[in-house]
Amino acid sequence: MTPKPSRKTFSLAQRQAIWAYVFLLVPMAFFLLVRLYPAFSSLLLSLRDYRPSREVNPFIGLKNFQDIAADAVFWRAMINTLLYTVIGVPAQLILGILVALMLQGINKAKGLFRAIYFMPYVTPIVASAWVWQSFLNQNFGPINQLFTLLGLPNQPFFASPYQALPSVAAFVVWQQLGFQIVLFLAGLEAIPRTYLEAASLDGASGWQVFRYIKLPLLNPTIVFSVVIGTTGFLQLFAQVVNINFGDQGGPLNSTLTVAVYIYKVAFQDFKMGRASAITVVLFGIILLITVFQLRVLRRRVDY
Amino acid sequence: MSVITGKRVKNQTAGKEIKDRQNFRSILVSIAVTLFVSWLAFVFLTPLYELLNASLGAASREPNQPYGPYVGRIFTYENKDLSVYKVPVNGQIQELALIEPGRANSVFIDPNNPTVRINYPGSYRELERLWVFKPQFKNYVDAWNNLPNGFARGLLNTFLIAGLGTLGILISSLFTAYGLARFNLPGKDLMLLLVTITFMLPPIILFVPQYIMFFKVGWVGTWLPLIVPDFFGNGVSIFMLRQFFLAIPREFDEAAKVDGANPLQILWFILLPLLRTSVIAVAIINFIIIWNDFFNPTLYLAGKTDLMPLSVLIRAFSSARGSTDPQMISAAAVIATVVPMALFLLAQKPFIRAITMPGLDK
Repeated sequence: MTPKPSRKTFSLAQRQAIWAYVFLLVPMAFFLLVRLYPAFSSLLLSLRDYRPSREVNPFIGLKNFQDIAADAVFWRAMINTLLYTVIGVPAQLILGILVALMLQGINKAKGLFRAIYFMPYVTPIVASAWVWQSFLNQNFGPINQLFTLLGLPNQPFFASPYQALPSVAAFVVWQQLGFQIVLFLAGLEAIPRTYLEAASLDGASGWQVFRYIKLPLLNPTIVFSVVIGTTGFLQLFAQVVNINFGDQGGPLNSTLTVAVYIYKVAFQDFKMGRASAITVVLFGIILLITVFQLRVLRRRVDY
Repeated sequence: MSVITGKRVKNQTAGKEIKDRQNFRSILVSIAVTLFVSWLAFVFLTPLYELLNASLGAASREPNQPYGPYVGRIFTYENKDLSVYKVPVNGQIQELALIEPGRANSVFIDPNNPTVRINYPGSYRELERLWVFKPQFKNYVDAWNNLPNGFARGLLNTFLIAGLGTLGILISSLFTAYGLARFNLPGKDLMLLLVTITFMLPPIILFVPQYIMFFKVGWVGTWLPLIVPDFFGNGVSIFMLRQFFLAIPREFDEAAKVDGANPLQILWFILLPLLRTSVIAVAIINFIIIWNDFFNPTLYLAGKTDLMPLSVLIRAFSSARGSTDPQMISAAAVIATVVPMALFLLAQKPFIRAITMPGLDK
């Protein structure tokens, strides 16, 4: 005869396990099905000549990768994407830290300013891209009216293959800056006040306080901002498409990003195998850069 | 510490003087920084005023039109709308209505005495027009009436897609986050790692395979691909909610467990009331993200104008009417912006706490 208590504990553990499965395993299984499975199937798709309308999609090995290597538009998109990242990430990082430092220095209405700077971030991209187009319009845009007032020549901005990419990058930085500011403001607030007080009692200058106390302690936030910012810029899509909808990625592919190119190859040319190959390449680049950034940036924190 | 106090005692009077000077300086710096930040915030928001301004302005702009919702002053004479200009007559500037525009010779009439015709030897284009400040609120009515399938439908679609998606994310993520925070199961760390990986995973790599998956089950052209994945959890939300759960001491659960509550009851009656603001913040963040989402509706609702949310609908509207009726597109864009903006401003504090959490955690 089994003693009652032991049976009871067994059933309690069992009940606990059932709840755990209900709360954890079932949703997790679905979660992985929807999020992780497609990520892996990307890899398999890239080895096929996949078109959704066909019954049979032949396995073609590395042909898709060979094709994109020889595709000038792909390289254009790749270079553009790296340019966006190289311009955008440092710009939003530096501006974000600067504005956050200034906001931390003021006593009143900090919350109000934080909300103001965050407003572009919650504005639908369709709306903000629409107003930026007219804002930077060559003929009647306010910026060019200002240029005329200052005696400067009018600039075409989005209409010029040379100025379009920096203009789009400026738009994205404007749109994302609020997030950076909020992030760094939270990072600055988390720095214990005693450190700053001790430093000022020791006669440290504002710059010294920033350089030797705030900046090192902000390192985790900087790492987060750079990693999130980089992956974001490497996948730039909605902003580019909305700025120039008639000629997505134009003029002359000067604003085309890899993400927009994947969209075009997959959903306008319906070459999904090839689009998957580009996806795999982009994923590899994002992975490499992220790992590299985490290694380099994290190292500075242990001193 | 003791060294510092010792110093302070030694030269107290000198210290006070320095402190006063420092206080005065820091107040000055604070004022200067506040002014600068205010100016910067003003400049920073100019695109948003511009949107509002354009939504209340006239369809076309003229070179010397003042900035703001100004329209040309009009004098109606014999059922014709005449523009009013500043015309020099006998060395005096008069406000006259243009009746016969010409390059070498233009004819004006005085609005106070319309029967007399006044000749101006020159082009009317050289003259300055008179402007009146008159916001065109009818642009909003026009936008409302002219959006394909009607604005009301688009607004309803957006509300439904964002509402259902948010509901799905909340339900699924709450369960998973609660499980991750409170149950010990072999492999839990691996699951947490997988959640973290999925939200670090660039969403772009899912687009093609996910589209194929939904295409095969015949969901393309419906709301299902936009809503159903949300019922399977959302990496960032799971992460945020798990942090919130972890911040609540386990004693609360234990006390309820002793009283015979099952985990579902603990979640519903004990933990959720404690986390109300945080859960609402997570809901609002997701609602805004889905409301503003452009990519997924573009992909899955291509050609289905009656199912589209505002983001895609306004894009289509501006392709069709942007060059002829820009003021209408701006008005539509303002309407689409009002909801996420209002939600953000209402829940600002918990909203910002929730989004900054992953950044502070590391």
